[in-house]
Amino acid sequence: MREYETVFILHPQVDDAGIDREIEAVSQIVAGGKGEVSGVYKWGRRRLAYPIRKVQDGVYTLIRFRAEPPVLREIDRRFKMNESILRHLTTHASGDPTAPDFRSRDRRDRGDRGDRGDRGDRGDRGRGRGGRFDDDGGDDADEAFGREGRRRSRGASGPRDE
Amino acid sequence: MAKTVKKKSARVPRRKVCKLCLDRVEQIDYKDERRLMRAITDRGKIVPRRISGNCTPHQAQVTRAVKRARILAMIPFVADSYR
Ligand SMILES: [Zn+2]
Repeated sequence: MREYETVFILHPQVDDAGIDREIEAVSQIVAGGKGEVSGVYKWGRRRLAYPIRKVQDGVYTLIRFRAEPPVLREIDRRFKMNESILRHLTTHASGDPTAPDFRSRDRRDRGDRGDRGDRGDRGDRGRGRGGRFDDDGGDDADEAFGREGRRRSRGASGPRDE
Repeated sequence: MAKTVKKKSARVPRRKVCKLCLDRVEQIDYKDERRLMRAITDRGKIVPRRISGNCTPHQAQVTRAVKRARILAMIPFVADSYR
């Protein structure tokens, strides 16, 4: 039996009892399939990166469990029928199951870029593949995974496209 | 009028190295929102390998993680300002 994890997002109007009901429902399915729940992580209410069914927030929960594949299918089936589940995703268990640090999504925390235009993701395209990027793409490369903070320095140099 | 021979500015191509390899990152998790935010552009697109310098296995992991995180509304498909 493999270990899996399911993250589901509940409608923000669901109360604590409702959350526990869903957790219980998943646990039942897992137990019914001779699996076992190894952990429940309530991330709580968080802002969604984009609205889902007209709501901006969702209540996140992650459940880790060991089970056979039919259990996964059953969980998926039940979630799909459940109106209060905005989203769900089951994957192999990996990484830190606790609530991620979401603050970084907030633009303000990313260095007050406010309404500054995009630097033009693809503005560079026309310049061909000739490797121009080593010069002016330097920032981008760092940005991809570099230490934080480089983005800020880019300033208004990038072409805008609006 | 002879074309002035423009001296091509000597741009030494530097070999990009995969930062994830340098940092010995083994697994990229879709829940690692901080990291994923840095793997996408302002628009929300995945930073291409030619820019990020990621190696193939790492880029594949990044891509997968970004897509999962998008499904769970942890990161945007398209940045707010462009919707
Ligand atoms: Zn790598």
